[in-house]
Amino acid sequence: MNSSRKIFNSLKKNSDNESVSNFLQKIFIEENNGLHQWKGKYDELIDEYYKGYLNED
Amino acid sequence: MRIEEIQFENFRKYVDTSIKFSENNNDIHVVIAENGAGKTTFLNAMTWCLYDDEPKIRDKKNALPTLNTEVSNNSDNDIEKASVSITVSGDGLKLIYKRSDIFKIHNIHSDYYKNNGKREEWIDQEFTVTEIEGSESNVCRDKDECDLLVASFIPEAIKEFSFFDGEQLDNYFLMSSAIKDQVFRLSHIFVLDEMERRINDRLKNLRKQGNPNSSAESKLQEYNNQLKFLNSEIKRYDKLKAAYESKDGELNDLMNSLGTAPSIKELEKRRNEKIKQRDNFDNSLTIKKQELNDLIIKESPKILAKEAFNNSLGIIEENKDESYIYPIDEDILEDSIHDHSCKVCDRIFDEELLDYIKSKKAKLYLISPEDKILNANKKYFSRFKDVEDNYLKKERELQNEISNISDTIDTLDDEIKEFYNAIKVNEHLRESINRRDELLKILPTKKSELDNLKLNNDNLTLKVQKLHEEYVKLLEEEDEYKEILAKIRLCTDSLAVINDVKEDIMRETREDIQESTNEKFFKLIRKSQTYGEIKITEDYEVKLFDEDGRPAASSASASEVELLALSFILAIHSVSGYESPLVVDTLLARTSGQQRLNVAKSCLNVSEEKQLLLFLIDEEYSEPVERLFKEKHVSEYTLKESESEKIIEIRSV
Repeated sequence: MNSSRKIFNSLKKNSDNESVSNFLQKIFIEENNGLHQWKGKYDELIDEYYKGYLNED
Repeated sequence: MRIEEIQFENFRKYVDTSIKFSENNNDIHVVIAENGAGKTTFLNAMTWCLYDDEPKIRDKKNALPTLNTEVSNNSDNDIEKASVSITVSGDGLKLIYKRSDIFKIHNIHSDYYKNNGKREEWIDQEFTVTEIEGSESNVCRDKDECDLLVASFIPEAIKEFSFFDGEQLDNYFLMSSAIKDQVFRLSHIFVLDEMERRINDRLKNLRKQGNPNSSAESKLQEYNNQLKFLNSEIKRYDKLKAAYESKDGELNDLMNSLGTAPSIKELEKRRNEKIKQRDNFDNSLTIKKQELNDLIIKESPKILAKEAFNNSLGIIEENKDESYIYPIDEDILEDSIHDHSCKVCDRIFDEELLDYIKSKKAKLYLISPEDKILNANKKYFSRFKDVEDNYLKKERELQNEISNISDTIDTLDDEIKEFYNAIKVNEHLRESINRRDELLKILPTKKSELDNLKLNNDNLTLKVQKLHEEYVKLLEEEDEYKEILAKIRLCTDSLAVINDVKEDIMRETREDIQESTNEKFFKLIRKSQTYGEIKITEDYEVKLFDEDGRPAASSASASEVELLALSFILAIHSVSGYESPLVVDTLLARTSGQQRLNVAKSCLNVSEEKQLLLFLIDEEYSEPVERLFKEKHVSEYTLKESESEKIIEIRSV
């Protein structure tokens, strides 16, 4: 298994929260593909996944 | 990927030459050269081409230019280039890395020549990578893209795992922190670092958007800080616990394998004490023997004269018994009678006494001069009466003391011998016994540290829980910032996960490298009995153990240490996925005889899975190694310097 795949699986395994798990996996894929406009992409993904926390609280 | 060809153009002493590494029966290639015949320049050329680095040049500031000096001196051109190109291939792709230093050549009448004493002036450097896939080719000149293409072959960060000096292999075990750092890069953990940095940046931005007066946010921050601290403490506890358990396990193993084998240090200490005692008794023995000697020398004349003295006393006593008058000096008696008074006591003799003395005089037995001497010495003779008894008594006492001391010395010698035997029997366990004793000493302290930390962590957990409860309560009161706080929580939780993943990956990578190192080492060493396993510590120290689990690195031969380092490097290649060639300088220099042949045989094994370029000096290429490589049709090349010492030729043997 290559290192990237290991990291990807480990991000999933170590996250108790589904939102965190999906958020990190998505970022990791984006990072591996090369991110030029990273701030925009990070904000976009935060907007996409923070709602899980609203429901929790 | 493998190296197909290296071409040189005016690069130092390599003017116009190339070398092709064809894959025939195997992929091992040997370049043989005398010392100083261009081997180092060859190796430098390779790293220069790929990374613009010539690591083997010590004084880089004063180094000669890369352009060959003959070319520089005799050129009729305005521009000359010094170039090295390396062609590599694999997976249907061919890459040609080419680096060139470009020099302007000045006339010897020019100001430049007059000022600098040389014709060549470095003006630029070019680096290109040509990608060839099928019939399509593309020349890449962009620095970042070229670097990526170099990294796809051998990343610069890990070049030490592909280009290395055989004589320095031992040092691999001394640079564990550098290895750890490089493994960090190999594991792609740098991507996680980047994610961490960027999430932190967004988190900072989100916090700016939040209500600066929000008590929920400050509570959240406090909670996060404490949580972070708690997590780091828990990790510290886990790490300490793992270290403690590992040491405890090690101690159990040692206790099982060693039983009650005594501490060698303690045995040596007690042996030395006994030796000291024995030395003291040796001194006492010498003193007592001297005393006996002195006694004999002093008393023996008396003993020898004793019989004569006793005889004399006997004669005196005999005469006395026979009622001889107590000896009186004849002259004194005569003078006393003549003067009518005693010459001894001055008594005045009256007529009656005088008559009496005169009447008795006839009966007086006047002693001989010898009797006189005997009588005069009677007291002296008497003193010798007990001399023998006294001597014998004293001598007996000394003999007893000498005998007792000798017995004690014999007993001590036996005990010392037993200590020597016990030390000898346990000598091969010395390292393990020392380790056991060290662990016995340190483990209770570690256990106590661990218990204290656990207690602190429990208290800290309670504190964090309380903070979280307070935070949730405040949050409920501040609906308008709920959204931002949720985003902040997403980010903080993500950061915690990234941290955990980083640790997991490092641990798993280490375990994979350990497993692969074991597999490769036992394949290369072809010994299944001597060694048990290799462990790689968290700090990337490579440890070799024998089959009973005792540390065995110190008893490994030079060739075994080389094979261990080689296995470790191969494992790193295998785990990282970079199946690049190994380029090794003077791999056989530290070994000789059968050990050297064993390493050479192992090279043949290694070449089954990857390309191996060996650079050897003549002395290393011993007859058995040469025979072995020739039998296996290993490609051989020699480097030959021209008579002018300015040009090197590469010849295929």
